[in-house]
Amino acid sequence: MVASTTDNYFELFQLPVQYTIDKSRLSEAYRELQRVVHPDRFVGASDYERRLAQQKSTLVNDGYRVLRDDLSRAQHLLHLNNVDYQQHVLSDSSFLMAQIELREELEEIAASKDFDRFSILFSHIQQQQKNCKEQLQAHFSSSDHLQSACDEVIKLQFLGKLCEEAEALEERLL
Amino acid sequence: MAYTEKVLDHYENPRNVGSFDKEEKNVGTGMVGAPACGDVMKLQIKVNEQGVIEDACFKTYGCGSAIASSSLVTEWVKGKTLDEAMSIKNSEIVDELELPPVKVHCSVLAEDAIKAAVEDLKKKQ
Repeated sequence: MVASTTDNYFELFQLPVQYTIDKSRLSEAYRELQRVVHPDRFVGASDYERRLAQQKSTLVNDGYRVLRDDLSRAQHLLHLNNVDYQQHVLSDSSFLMAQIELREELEEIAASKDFDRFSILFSHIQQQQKNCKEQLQAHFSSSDHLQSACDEVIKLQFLGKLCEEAEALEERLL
Repeated sequence: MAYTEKVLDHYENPRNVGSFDKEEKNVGTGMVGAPACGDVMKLQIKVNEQGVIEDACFKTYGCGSAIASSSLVTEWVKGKTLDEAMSIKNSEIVDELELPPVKVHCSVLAEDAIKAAVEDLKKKQ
C-alpha cells in the first residue's frame, strides 16, 4: 500500500479518470477515507494494522493534494497515460520569449516599485494560467490531444515559477 | 547546497548580460527553458562577415548554476566559428564549473541555447 508510480488517485477517490473533476466530491471522498484510516480507530489493533493504516493515510493525503491542484492533476493524468511530459519539447517558441520578457518586466517593476504596473502584470500572469487550464480541459476531453496537453502543462510549470517570483516581489512591495 | 567558487564568481559577476536586437541579420538568438524548474535562458551571438562570433550575450532567469553556465558559454564562444560553437559539450561546462550531478541539467540548457542560437542565425543567412 506504499505510494508507487502506478497509483491511480482517481480510483482511490472513486472519481472518473478525467481532468475535470467535482472538487466537492473529492473533498467528501477524502474526508470519508481519512475517517476510515484515522489512527483513533486502530488503538487496539496490531502494529502491522496500525502501520498499514498509517501508510494508507499518507497515500490518501498525497492523492488529495495531487487531485485538488489543477496542474498536478494534469501531470498525474499524463503519467497514467504513460506520457513523459518532462521530455516533451515545447512547440511554441514564442512562449519562451514572452516568458523572458515577463521576467524582465518583473525586474523593472522591482526597481521602480511601481505597484500599479505590478497589479497589471500579476493579473496578466493569472489570466494566462487560467487560459492554460481551459486549454487543458479541452485537450484532455479528447485522447488524441495528449501532446497538446503536454504543452499546456509545461507552460503552467513556467507560469507557476513566474507566479512564485511575482508573489515574492509583491511581499516586498507591500 | 553549496556552489563552487567558479559558479559563485559567474553568479556574482556574470559576463555579458544583455540583449542584442534579435531582428538584426547577424544576430542569432537561442531561447530555451527547463520546464521542471521553470528556468528560462536567452543566449545571443553576433557574427562578423567571416562568420566568426565576435560578441555574445545572455539573459537567464534561473538558479546560480544556470546563470554561471550561460555566462561561461558566452565567454567561450567569442572568437569561435559557428561550427566550433556547435561543438561545445555540456560536459565541458560541468568540468569547468565543477557542477554536481543535480545541476548537470543547467549545463545541458546552456549547450541547447548556444545550438539554438547558431541554428537561428543559419536560418537567417
